[in-house]
Amino acid sequence: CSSEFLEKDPYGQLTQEQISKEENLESLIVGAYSILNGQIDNASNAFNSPASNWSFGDVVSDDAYKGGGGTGDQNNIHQMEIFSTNPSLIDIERKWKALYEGVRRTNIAIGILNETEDISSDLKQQRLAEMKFLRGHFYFELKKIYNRIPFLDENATSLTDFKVSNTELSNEQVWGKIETDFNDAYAILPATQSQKGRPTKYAAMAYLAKVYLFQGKWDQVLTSTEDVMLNGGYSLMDNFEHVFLPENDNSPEIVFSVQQSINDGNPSNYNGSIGDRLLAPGGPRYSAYGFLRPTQNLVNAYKTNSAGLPSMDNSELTMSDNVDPRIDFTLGRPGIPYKDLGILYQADWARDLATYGPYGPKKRIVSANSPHHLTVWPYVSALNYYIIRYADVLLWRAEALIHTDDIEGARTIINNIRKRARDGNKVMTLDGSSTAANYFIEEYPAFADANEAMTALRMERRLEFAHEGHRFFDLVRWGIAEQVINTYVAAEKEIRPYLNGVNFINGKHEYFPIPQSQVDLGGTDEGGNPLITQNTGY
Amino acid sequence: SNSNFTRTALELNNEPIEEFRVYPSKNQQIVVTGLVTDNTGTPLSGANIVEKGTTNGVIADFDGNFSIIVRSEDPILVISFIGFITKEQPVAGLDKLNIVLQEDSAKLDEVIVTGYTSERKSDLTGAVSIVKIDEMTDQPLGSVNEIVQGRSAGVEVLSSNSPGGNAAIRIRGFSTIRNNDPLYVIDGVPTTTGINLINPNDIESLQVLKDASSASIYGSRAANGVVVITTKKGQDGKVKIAYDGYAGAMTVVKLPRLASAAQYGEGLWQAFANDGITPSNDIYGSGSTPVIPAFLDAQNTIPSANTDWLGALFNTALVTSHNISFSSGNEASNSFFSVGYYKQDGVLKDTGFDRYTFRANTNFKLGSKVTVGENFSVSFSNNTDVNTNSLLGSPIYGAFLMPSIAPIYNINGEFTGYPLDDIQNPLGALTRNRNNEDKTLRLFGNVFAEIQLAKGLKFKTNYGLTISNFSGTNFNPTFTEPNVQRVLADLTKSEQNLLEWTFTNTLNYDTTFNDKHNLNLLGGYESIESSLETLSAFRQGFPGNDPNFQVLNAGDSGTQQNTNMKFESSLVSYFGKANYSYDDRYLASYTIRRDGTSKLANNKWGTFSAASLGWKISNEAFYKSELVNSLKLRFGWGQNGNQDIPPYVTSSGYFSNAFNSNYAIDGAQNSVFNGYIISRNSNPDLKWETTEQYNIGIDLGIMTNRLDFTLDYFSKTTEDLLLERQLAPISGGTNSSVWDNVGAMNNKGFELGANYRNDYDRELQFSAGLNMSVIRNELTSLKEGVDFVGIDAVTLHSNNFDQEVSRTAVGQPIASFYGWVADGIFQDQSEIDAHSFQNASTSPGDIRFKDINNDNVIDDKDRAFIGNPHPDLSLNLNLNFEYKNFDLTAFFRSSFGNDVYDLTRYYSDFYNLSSYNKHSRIADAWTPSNTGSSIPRLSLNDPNNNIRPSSYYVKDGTFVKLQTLQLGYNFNPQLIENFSLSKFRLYLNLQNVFTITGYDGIDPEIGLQNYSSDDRNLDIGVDRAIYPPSRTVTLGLNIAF
Repeated sequence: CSSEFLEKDPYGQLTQEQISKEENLESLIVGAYSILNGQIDNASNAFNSPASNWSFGDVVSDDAYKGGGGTGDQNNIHQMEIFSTNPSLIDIERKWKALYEGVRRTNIAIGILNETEDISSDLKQQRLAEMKFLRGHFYFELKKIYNRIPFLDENATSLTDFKVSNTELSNEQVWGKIETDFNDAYAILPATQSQKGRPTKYAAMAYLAKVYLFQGKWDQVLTSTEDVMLNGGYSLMDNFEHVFLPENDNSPEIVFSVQQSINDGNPSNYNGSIGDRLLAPGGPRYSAYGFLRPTQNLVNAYKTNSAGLPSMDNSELTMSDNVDPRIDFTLGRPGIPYKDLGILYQADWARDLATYGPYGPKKRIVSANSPHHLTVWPYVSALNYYIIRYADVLLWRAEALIHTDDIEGARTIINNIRKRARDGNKVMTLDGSSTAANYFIEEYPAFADANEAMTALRMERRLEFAHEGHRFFDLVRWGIAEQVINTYVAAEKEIRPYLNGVNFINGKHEYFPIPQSQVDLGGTDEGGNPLITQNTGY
Repeated sequence: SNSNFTRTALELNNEPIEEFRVYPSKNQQIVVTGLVTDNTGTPLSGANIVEKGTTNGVIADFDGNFSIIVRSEDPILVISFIGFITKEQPVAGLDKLNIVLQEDSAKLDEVIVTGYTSERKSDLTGAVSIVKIDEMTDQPLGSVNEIVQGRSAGVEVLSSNSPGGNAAIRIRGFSTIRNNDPLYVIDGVPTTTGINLINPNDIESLQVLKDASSASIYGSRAANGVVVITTKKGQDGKVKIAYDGYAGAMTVVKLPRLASAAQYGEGLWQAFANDGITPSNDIYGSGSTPVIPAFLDAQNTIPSANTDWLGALFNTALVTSHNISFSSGNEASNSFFSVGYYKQDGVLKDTGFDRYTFRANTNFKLGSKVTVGENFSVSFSNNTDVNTNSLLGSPIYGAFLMPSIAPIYNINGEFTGYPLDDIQNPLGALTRNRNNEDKTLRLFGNVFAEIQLAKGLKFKTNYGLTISNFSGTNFNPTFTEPNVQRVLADLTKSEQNLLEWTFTNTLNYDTTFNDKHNLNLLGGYESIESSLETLSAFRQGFPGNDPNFQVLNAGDSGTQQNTNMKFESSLVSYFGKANYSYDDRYLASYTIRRDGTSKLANNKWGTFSAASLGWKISNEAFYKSELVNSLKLRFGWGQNGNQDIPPYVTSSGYFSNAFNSNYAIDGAQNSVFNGYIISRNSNPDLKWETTEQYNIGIDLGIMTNRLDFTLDYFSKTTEDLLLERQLAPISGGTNSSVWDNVGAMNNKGFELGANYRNDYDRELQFSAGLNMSVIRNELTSLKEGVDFVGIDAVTLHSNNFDQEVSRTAVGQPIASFYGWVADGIFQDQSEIDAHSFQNASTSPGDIRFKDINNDNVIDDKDRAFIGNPHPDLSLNLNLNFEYKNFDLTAFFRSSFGNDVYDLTRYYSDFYNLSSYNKHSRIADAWTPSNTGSSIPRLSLNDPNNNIRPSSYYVKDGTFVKLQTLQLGYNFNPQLIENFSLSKFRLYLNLQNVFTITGYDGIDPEIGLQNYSSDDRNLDIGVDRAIYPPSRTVTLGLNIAF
């Protein structure tokens, strides 16, 4: 009797056999999607592993300062901002953990899907394709952030299988595996999905285009973007501002996104934009964590010349200057109405003004009047984070066209993007009588050569995608990170003295370090040497 | 040497005194008067004088005098007194007797409850500390932890200081990484919960079983030591009524002095200057000097102030306790009944604790062979508490953060704050929390029957039960402060229900043969089952903040969230014990126990044994010493098992986690689909952790046991440490650990206990108790590839604001401080240039960090172990004086060599967290004209990263405290007997009289960050603004009828 007495089974837990049933498998699939937003555990610091990459993609670029209550507030992100990143920083580890959690959840789902016979073959193939899409995404993120990454597939089932070298596969082999996942997904996925959170065939092709883009495989970028443009059914919304309304977060402009929800019955609203919870801009209607603050350099970038084109000189923007209208949908500047709140953004909304200046984030902040913004802690929203939106696909194609000597084709695309900014709605003064600033933006009449086209393309990406987590990775893949960041620092440190001494080192800072804990705990080879090789320079 | 363990030491020592009755006069009556003294002539007040063969008796008065009317033909008086040899004195015609009682040299022969049996103290072969309860019942002590604190060598108490707050007892260091709480055995029922719900007045005796040979009979849960508590039982004799009560006032002893409004502004301007920034601040302006404005906001609603935020949080608080007990007994039964009420308000405003206790202990003797009985208690407590010792969410730390220039109230009398930071007004937070009560109802008790099967052979069956219900309410009202507001009120209700039963059956055989061989055999079987269920529910959006809206149904049903979990575990044990003594000279004991647990899978069963030997040298014929009248050597060895891990860690499956497994796969904004993820990384091969301990002890009695010493040396090694081992982060973020047997830990140390008592003249009596311990803890190994145990990121964030300041590493004591070594302040550029590279903008006034690996650059590889939170030496001293009717007690506690990591400095010393207040010490920060300072230059940008975890934060926490000073007065028995009183005592007690320490924080005794989490022992001694200990002045009363 005592042997029975000593058997206690857990409550609320499914066995391997039960999970293989169709209805439970569907929940296992949902569990894999759930990790897309970077919330990996029960803790409230998903801001160390944000899906939006606001720290990894924007703060370390010329687009944003860390912000917050001083350089000591989230000092770890400050260390990243001043390129003093070390392998022990919590963000370095938690971002890695979040992405490998995605790898693990998708691998588990793939493993069980492969085994199960309790689900129809079509559904099985489709869910397998979805999981491969997700796995491709997680590896893509790992690759662009950490470069030298260990690779695990669904055959890595036990903890000992997780001891893998990060140098065993060549660069091309890792990219090849990512391509394979997206190709596999593309082959199976349907052209449309009734459940908007699932990727479509063309989302897979679009992601594949991005994978090619990062490898400079321009011909493949052209063929894949062409497929997406012809068959994907995507289009640009009429108004730039409306792209970032939660109501439109599965609009035809959105190719693939992290689905966020609030007030959904789950504790702490961790299904909202939890990785961005420190971005609340302050002022009378928002909490004032005050992170992610536009740089003066970014503000200046929106200045346009008399032809309505980017002025490119990065001189200080004044209120009388012409500006690209996207500036006031992207960032909060004093004297400009903030969203639909009926009030002007003020310098005193900004936390620690002396250190981080007067500007605040705006593009991905949801109106405090919106039911999709949470007015209570953790102040998150239901606005999805866009991993790929259609404008992105278009500008990838434009970039590939420039590389393949079709600068006119590129100009057409860039101008399409600018046309939307020109023709769409503008921020108006509070009384609605006039535009809030001198908005003036025009199409490029011509590009003299490929260099000019590339300069325009790069600027257009910056203006269109500011604070969407892409800037740093663009600079790295363009090979201009050192030049752009060190130039930016040289000027910016005059007003932001904490940037004194900041130096981007070519060959080191393009990638973040491998977490020290991965090096320490990642296992050793037969010769007793660590399986994990740290990235260059760390 | 064995006994029914429901009988207590006192009963066994104290011959039953029957009711004193005056017999009607027969033919003869003689009045006999006399004086009872000890051999020094000190009168023995309270000695019993009984006419032999009758129930006629009296008690000697305060001066030792008595007067008795005897009626027998050849009357003999039996004179007895506790601690003295009972004497029979024929009256033989004398009418004035001078009776001198001899002290009982076998005073050590208290009988104490150890395992499932009891033993004479002099027969102990293990390391057992006996806490002298009778010394403490006349003191105002609110909890078991206060009784134990400082009273026993090798026993450390870590306390949260909050009313009804948590405490942890550590016996002989830290034998494991995770749970180091001892096992409590209350009237034979093991428990690990609800200790602060015990009424200290109900405790008859308390023993701490420290080594394996004494504790191992409790097997699986005894590796951290055992605290054995026996509650009071009815005593033979007439009904006795006792009242013990006190009332006191508590105040905070010491609070840090934070920067004033002006000091903060001046520091800010200094930081601007150091950084080369033109000063500009929304509050202090942009002039050449900071200016304190009339108002902090443009609307002129927040007037500037110079608030002492810390001082504003605390007030004088009251503590009261009332306890009344009734007891009686006779040959057939005895009973004890008590009710207690304890109320402690917090010195921190709007916190407090109430406790109501009820106890009934009875037993019945059915004939001469069968005893049945029960011990039963009901406790109810009501606690309003807040989170402290945390950088996030603690109102005390909130008061560190709120700049002094911010007023408590705005011009409308509402709580307000500082427009530039995100801190909730800490007084507002306390006020908003005031109705948030946690209620605990606990039923604890046992029923037993004992049958004498044959001479010396007893069977005992015991069924113990714990039923406990915790019910918590957490209502967060709406409020608006600058930059902090809650627009929707929310309410969380939580319930925890624990049901645990213990069924124990033992057979005990006690025999003496050939006069000299004494053998005691015990065999037993025990099974335990425990079930814990938790339930919580949440809503937000309440129509108002009134207390009568604080029910879930008043909230918006669309916002509801709920959770429910259930855990079960079981244990089965078989055990046996043999105690043998020969001629009261040689002692031997052997224990074996086999335990099975539901928490393990492939290795459910563990077998643990212990053996000990004792030699009473002073009982040998050759032993002659007059001075050292008793001398005993003890040696013990034994093993204990530990399986204290969460249930189910050996099995993995799939489950839903509401925090990270659900997803709006359909694109909805307000709903999600349920997701499943793997529940954990399971380890079915997990096995018992084993602690093996050696103990060598010597007990000395000197000068007829006036002075006794107990000296112990121990070494205990825990193998197969049970630990939730971190995996390489490639295994993901949700399940990034696995329970494993990972390594070994060692504790070794010396303990010394000494007691002295001398009645050296008629009027002044003196006794002293001293205990001392030296314990060294070291983690001796971890699994391959793992060189330290860290604190998980969740905890680091909420408690430490992501600062990793402690590590538990091989070769170091548990929870050692870890970081860079601060090696002074750079005085000029040449020193910076000569040193390893720190930062391009490092300037004079910045901290020089040591280049540990000598690679000419200071980076994260230059971190080292920079401090140890454990004391080198703990020393406690208790002094008692009695003079005439007065008694005086002084109790000192001290700790030497323990370090404190003062994490409060993270915000308080550095201006790169500029919107928060600073400590006043920043006024002395390094400047070119103040180069002697140890505080680095103030900087908003801190390019040198002075703020990083380093030895700058590590301070010496050595202290000496006068914990208790008490003066009591006993009214003369003659004076009170007219009121039928046998005791009437008043006392005045002071707690926390003074502390001598160099530590400049609130208090050098930090305790734990929390008392329940898995990693609570991993960040000992980190000061994040603790709940301050209070100084208490108490007036108390003890009455007995």
